[in-house]
Amino acid sequence: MPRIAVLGNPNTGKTTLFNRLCGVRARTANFPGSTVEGRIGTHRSPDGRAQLELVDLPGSYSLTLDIPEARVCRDCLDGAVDGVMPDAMLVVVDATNLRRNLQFAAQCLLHRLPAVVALNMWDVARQRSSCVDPAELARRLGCPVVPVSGRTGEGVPAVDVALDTLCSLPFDSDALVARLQKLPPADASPAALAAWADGVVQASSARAASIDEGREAMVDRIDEALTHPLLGIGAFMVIMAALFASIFMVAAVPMSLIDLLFGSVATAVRAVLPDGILADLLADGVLRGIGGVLVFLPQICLLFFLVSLLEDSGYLARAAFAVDRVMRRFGLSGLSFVPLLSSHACALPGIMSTRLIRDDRERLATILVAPFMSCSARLPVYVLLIGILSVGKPPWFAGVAFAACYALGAGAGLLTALLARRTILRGPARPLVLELPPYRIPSLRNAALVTWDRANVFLRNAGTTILAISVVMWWLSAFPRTGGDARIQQAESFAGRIGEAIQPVFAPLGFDSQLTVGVMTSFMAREVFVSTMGVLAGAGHDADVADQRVLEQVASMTRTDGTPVFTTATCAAALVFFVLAMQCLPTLAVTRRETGSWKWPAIQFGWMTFVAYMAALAVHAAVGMAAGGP
Amino acid sequence: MNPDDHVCLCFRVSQRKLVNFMEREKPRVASQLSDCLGAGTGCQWCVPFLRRLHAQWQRGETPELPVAPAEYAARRAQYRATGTRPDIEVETESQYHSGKAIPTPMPADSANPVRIPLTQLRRGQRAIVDCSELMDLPEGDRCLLHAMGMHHECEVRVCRSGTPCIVQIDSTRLGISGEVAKKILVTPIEDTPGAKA
Repeated sequence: MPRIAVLGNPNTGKTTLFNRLCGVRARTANFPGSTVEGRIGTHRSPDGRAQLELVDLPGSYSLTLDIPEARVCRDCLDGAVDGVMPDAMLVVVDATNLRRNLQFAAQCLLHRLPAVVALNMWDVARQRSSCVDPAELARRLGCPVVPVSGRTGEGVPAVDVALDTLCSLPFDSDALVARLQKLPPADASPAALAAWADGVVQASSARAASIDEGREAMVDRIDEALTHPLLGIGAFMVIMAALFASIFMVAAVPMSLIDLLFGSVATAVRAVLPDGILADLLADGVLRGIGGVLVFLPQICLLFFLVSLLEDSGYLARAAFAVDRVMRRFGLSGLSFVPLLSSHACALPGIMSTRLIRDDRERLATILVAPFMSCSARLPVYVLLIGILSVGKPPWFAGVAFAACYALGAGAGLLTALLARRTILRGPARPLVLELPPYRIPSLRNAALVTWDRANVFLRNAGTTILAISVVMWWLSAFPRTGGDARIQQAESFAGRIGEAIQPVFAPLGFDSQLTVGVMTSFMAREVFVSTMGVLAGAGHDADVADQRVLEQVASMTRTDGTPVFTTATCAAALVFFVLAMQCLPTLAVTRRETGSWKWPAIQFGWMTFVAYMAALAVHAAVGMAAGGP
Repeated sequence: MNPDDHVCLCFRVSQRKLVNFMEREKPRVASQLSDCLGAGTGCQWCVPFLRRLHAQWQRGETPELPVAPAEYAARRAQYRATGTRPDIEVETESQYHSGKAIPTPMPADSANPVRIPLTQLRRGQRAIVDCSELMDLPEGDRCLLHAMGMHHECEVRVCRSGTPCIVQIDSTRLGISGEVAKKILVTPIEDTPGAKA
C-alpha cells in the first residue's frame, strides 16, 4: 500500500481533511522517541480500486526547528518511522494565509518525494475574494495544486484523483529537478524564504485578499475580553463550570447503566455457574474489573468531546492566555490548566491531555500534580466520611467540608508544582507564544472522531492495566478461602492480613485494623473503600453506594475493645488522607506510559502518600486536642 | 512636559518636585538631584534630562523639557530594552554651562526610526517588526516566532495591547506573553486608519 505523509502548518484544517479522506479507518500512532502523536489511516478511492495509507503528521511551523513536531515530520520524510519511506507527500496549505503556509510548503517540497499541494479552506478564501490561481501556483511550485475545503468536502474527490495519479505514475526525476530549481535553497534565511513566498503569492493572485475591517475589530474586542485578567478568568470559570456540570450530569446516566449492566451480568453468571472459584473469578474479578474500566469511559469520552469542540471553536487558545498569569506563579503555564481541570473529573484523561504542553519539565510537573485534584472517584468516599462527620452539625457543615476537600486537593497540587519546579524540575518558565485560530463553529464530526480515538487509546492502554489490577485485587481478598461469611473472609484474606500487618503504620492516624483494610484496598481504586467498609460493617455485598443504611452501619462500627472506630479525629484524618493520597493504580499506569519511566509514578506515589500521611497525622492530633482527648 | 509629568519614571519623580527641590536645596551639581527621592538612580535614563533641568535652573531660566511625555516614556522603554540611546544626543556638562543652545531630543526620521516595544502600541495600530533585538530570547523561541510568521520587517496589527499582546500578521493572530512581546521592537506606522487613541 503506498504511504503518503500529510504535512502542514497547525490550524490549516489538515486533520479535518485527513478525517474526510480516512474517516474512522484511522488509529492514533505514537512516533518512536517522541510524545507527539499523529494518526495513520487508510483511504480507499471512491471506486474501491486503489488503497492508500495516509500518515497525519503533527502540525508544525517549520521543518528545520529543533522542536518535537518538526523532528517527527523530518523523521517521517526521511523514512525513520517504521523504517518505511513515504511514497508521496500531501502538503496542506491554508489558502487564506498563503504567505506563511508557502514557507513551510517550500521546506517540505525540498524533500525528494512526489507531492500534491492541497489548497485548503478554499471556500473561506473565495468569500474573501482573494483570487489565487491554482494553476499559476502549481506552475510556481512545480507540483499539482488542488483547491479543496475540508469543512464542506468540496474538492476532496480531486485530491483523491491527484493522489492516485501520483502513486500510479513512475517516479519522474526530471520534474523533481525542475521543482527543486523553483524553490528557495534549503539553507535560505527566514527573511529570504519570506521574500520568496511573497513573490509567489503576488505572482499567483490577481488581487490581494480583502480583509473585513468590521469583523476584525469585533474579533479584537472578543479577544480582548477573553484574555482580560478579570473578565477572561470570569468567562473561563463560567465555561468550565458548564463543561463539568454537563459532564457530571450527562455521564451519570451511562455510568449507572454500565454499573447496572455488569451487576446483572455478574448475578446471571452466579446463577448459571456452580458456586466456586470460577464463578467468583468471573463475577468478582473479571466482570467487576471490566465494569470498573468501562465506568470511566462515559466521562472520558464526554470530556474529550467537549474539549475538542472548545479547541475547534478557537476558545481554548484564548483561555490559555487568560489563566497563564495565575498558573505562572506556580511554575506552570496556561497550557497546564485544562489538564488539571480535567483531572477533577478523572486524572486519567487529565494526564493524557498534557501532551499539549510544549515544555517537557512543565509537562512533567503537570502530570505529577494532576492526581491531587479531587476526582470523581473520591466523591463516594467524601460522601461517606463527611456524612459521618456532619452528624449533629448544622446543615451548612457538609457543604463547607466538600468545598474544603476540593480546595485542599487543588492547593496541595499547586504548591507541589511550585516545589517541583524549584527543585527536581527546575528550569526557565517558557513564555507562552500561541497562534490564536479564528473563531469557528466547531465540527461535530471532528470531535466525534477525536473522542473515538481517545476512547480506543484509553481502553487499549489504561483499560488492560485496570483489568489486571482488579483481578489481582480480587485474588488478594478472596484467598485463602475461609468458607465463612463476607466479614470473616475479608479479615482472613491476604488483603485482610496485609491490613492487619500494616495497621501499626496507620495507628498514629487513629486507624484501626478494619479501617486500615479499607485504606489498603482503596490503594487500587478509591471508590472501593466504600464497598469494603460496607462489607466490613456487615452491610452486605451490594454496598457500592453510600446510602443512609450503609452510612449508619459504618458510623456505628466498633473496635475490638468496643470503642467506636470513627471518632471525629479519626474520621477527619481519614478524609484528609483520602483527599491527598495517591490511591489509584490506573493513574500510576498512565503516568508510567506518558512519562516513559517508572521514576515519575514512584515519585508521585511516594510524595502524595507522604503528604497525605503527614497531613492526616497533623489533623488527627489537632482535632483530637480540640475535642479534648484522643 | 508639564510640571506634574514624571521625569524619573523609575521613582516617579515629577518635574515640579525636582524644580521645588532645586529652589529649596540649591544643589551645586546635577548629581545632587539624586537626593530628591532618588531621581536618576534607577535605570539612569533620565540622567541627561536631570542635567539639563539643573543647567537651566542654574542659568536662571525656567526649567522645562520640550518633549511629549508619551514620546519620553517610549524612548525610555527603548533605552531599557536595548541599553543604548541612539536617537538622543547626550549633552556634556560643558555644553550646558557654555550656555549654547541645547539640542532637544531629535525627532524620529526615516534614517533613525523610533523603535518601541510591541507592548506599547495601541489597539488597531500597525507597525513594522524589528527582530534584530530579539537576541535575549532562547534560540528555540526566536526561531518559532519566525516560523509562526513574525520575521524581520513584517507588518503587524495590534489586536490587543499590553500583556498578553495579540497581533495579527496577514490573517494569522498570534498571542504573545508579555515577557516576549516587550523584547520585540517595532516602528509604528503613522496615520493608521482605525487606530484608537
